[in-house]
Amino acid sequence: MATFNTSLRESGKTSIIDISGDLDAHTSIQLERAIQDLIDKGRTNIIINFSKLNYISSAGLGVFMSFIDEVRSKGGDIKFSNMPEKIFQVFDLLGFPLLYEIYDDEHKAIEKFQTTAS
Amino acid sequence: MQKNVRLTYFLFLALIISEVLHLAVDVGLFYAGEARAYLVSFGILVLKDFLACASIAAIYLLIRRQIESHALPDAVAWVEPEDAFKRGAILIASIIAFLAVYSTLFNPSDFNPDEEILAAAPQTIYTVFKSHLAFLTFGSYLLSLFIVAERLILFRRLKNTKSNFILMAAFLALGSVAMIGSKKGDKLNVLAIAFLSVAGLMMLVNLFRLSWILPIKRDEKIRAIFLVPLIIGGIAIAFNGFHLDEHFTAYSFSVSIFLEGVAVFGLLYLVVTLFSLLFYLPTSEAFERKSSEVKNLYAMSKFITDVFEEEKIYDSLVSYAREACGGSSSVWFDMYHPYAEETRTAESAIASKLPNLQWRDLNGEYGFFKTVAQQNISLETIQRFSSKADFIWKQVAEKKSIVRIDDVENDVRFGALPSAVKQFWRRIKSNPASSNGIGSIVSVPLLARNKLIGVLCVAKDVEYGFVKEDLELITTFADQAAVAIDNSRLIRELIDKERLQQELLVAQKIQLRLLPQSQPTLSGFQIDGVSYPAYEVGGDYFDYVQIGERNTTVGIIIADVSGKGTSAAFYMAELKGIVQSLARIYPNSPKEFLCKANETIARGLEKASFISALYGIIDTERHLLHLSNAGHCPAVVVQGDDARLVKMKGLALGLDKGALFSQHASEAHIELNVGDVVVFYTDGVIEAVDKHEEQFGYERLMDVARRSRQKSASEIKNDIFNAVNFFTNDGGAVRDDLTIVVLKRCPV
Repeated sequence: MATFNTSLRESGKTSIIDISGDLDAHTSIQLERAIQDLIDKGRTNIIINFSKLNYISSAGLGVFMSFIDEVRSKGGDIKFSNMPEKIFQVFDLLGFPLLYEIYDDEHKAIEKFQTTAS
Repeated sequence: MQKNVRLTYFLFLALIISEVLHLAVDVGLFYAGEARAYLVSFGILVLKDFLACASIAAIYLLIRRQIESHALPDAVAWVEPEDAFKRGAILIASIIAFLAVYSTLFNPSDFNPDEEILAAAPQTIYTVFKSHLAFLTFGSYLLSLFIVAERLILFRRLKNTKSNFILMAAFLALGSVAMIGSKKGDKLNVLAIAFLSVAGLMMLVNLFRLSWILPIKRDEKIRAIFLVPLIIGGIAIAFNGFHLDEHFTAYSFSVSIFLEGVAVFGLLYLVVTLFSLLFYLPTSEAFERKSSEVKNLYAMSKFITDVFEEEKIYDSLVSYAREACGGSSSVWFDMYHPYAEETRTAESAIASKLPNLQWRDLNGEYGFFKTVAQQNISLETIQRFSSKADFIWKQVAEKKSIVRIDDVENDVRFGALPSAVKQFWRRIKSNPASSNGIGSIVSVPLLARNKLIGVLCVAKDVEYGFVKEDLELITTFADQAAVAIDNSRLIRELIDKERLQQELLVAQKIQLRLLPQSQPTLSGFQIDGVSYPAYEVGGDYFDYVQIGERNTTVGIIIADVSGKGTSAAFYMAELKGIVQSLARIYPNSPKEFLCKANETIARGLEKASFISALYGIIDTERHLLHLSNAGHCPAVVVQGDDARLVKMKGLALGLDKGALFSQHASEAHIELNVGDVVVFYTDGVIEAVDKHEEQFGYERLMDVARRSRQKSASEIKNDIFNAVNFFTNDGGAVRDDLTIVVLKRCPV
């Protein structure tokens, strides 16, 4: 089973978290920590890049749910990008596209953050 | 017990009888004017010796029994040497006093000097009494000395010790027996000389059995050194000052030989004892220290069994360490808390508020130390010290090594060294307040399985207070305690795990009860469902609800609660309650049902949780299935030769409080003909993977459903389940709970 990893990139005021491997009940703690760190630092423009994610369980989805209210109340957002088809199906099935902005390309998400800010 | 008492009485009686008879004989002889020893006939002398032997035997046994009965249960020597010396000194003093009083009151009471006409004859009748009293008091005293010496000699006996002593006593006794019937002035016969010579040799062998001296304490030895000469002097005074040798001879020649032998041996033994005491005195402190170390280590090893109270182990460790390093040392134990990975900064912040914090790693890499047990030092003092000497804790946390500071005042690690003159001045001044009374300190880490548990700090108020042995001992204590603490933690972990397991079992039971216990019977329809949790407690749920009075409308729900374990089981219970009550309120519209269910559930769920659900209402009269989907896997419908997914938009329950959910919820209505099959399932089916990480997927599911459509609902259900199992069999995995519900319209 592929292990889970997060890595952080910065693009202006936007933070991009690349996630790879399997995101399930166990590994979701890592992602939680990564997002919490960003919120603590006041960086609430967050993009999650899914390009290397292999699997996501319902607990993994729960991570976004648990932060979204806080991030949005601070004027930021969590946006998703580069989702593989398999992952998108899971999001789509549960109706996540109604709650989150999902982009094919990371740059579009960054642009979106910039335009909302200005 | 009864027998013992009777024996004592018997011995006492024997003593009195023989003593009275003996006295009567002596008194008779005195008045017969035959007391001039050389006139007394052989027969009477033998009688006297016989009676004397009986007396001495009775006294010996009585004293022996007395001492033995007063011994502590496990005292090999029966007596405490120091106590015995004290009593011995007091006793000999009182005997001397008694004899002195007697001699003054009844003067003269001795024997005429040899050169007079009435040589060796008693001066008065009081002489006779004095002989007997001397025998009863001083004779008893010598016998007690003999018994005590025996017990001391037998302490830590070797193989031959006992036989050596018995031989000595036996030859002494034989020597006396050989002289039965002799009178004053007789020469020893050959036999007696032989026996007594052997006895003398055996004495030499026995004299140097002094193993009892080593274990007694230093101050006890000192007291003994003063007491032993008192006893030696007392015996010498009693013998010479009161002519007791003459009295003994008059009492019984043979017994007097025995008693004199005993006296000689006793005196020699006391002299040897005295010298040994003097000799062992300087080393006794070292010996005591060693033995207390052993004792402490033993006690320490016992607290390994104190597994349920970790705090107790800290306290014991601190007090043992203090005992081992001397009462004036200060000891404390700081527990180590490594930061948990996810909450480093938060924990560091919390730690900074602890009253007993000694050190925390500001970089969030290691953890923090807090004092949990201390002795002979206050928390404030430790804190003041640790604020200056934080490198100690840092080194322990980083390197897990011992930190030793021999001279706190002049150690480089405390910053710039003062000038040599200043150092010298400081030393002379020796102002301990400046370093909180800590002159030298040793900090030993407690390690268990290479994990740091804490650090034991031992401080002394003097510089260079620790020698290598101290360090070794402290390290040993630390190691022992580390094992004990580790054990205690492992056991607690086990207990917690067990408790969790128990909790899961309860949740599992609850969950099993939530699932339908039987399938509903519907005219023209078959239903069967099954749910396999991936772990003890799953998040999948399915249920049937009978709507309306007649058996014509039935609701089917299948749902997947995000998250696993106990919380999922409780959400499921909540969901079941909602389903059972709402289904009857919204008998026609599955969409309205889900909207209402979402409103109710969104309030109770935690933020990160949600429930995907698919709800259908079967109308058996019109052969209709009304479906609505809340973020769940689409139902598979097999009609004729064709299988398809009923895809519908919809949010999962609990993601949104209301507006968005109802805005996007939709409904589908499917007319079911005879032979049509509908499959409800959870993502466990779709996401099951084979060894290449390929998912089972929708196509395979539809394929199986289509191929099995001719079979009964339960057979179709089994086929799907088997297909998934077969797919994952060879190195794949079912990652999630797996639930399948099959509905089939069959001919009536």
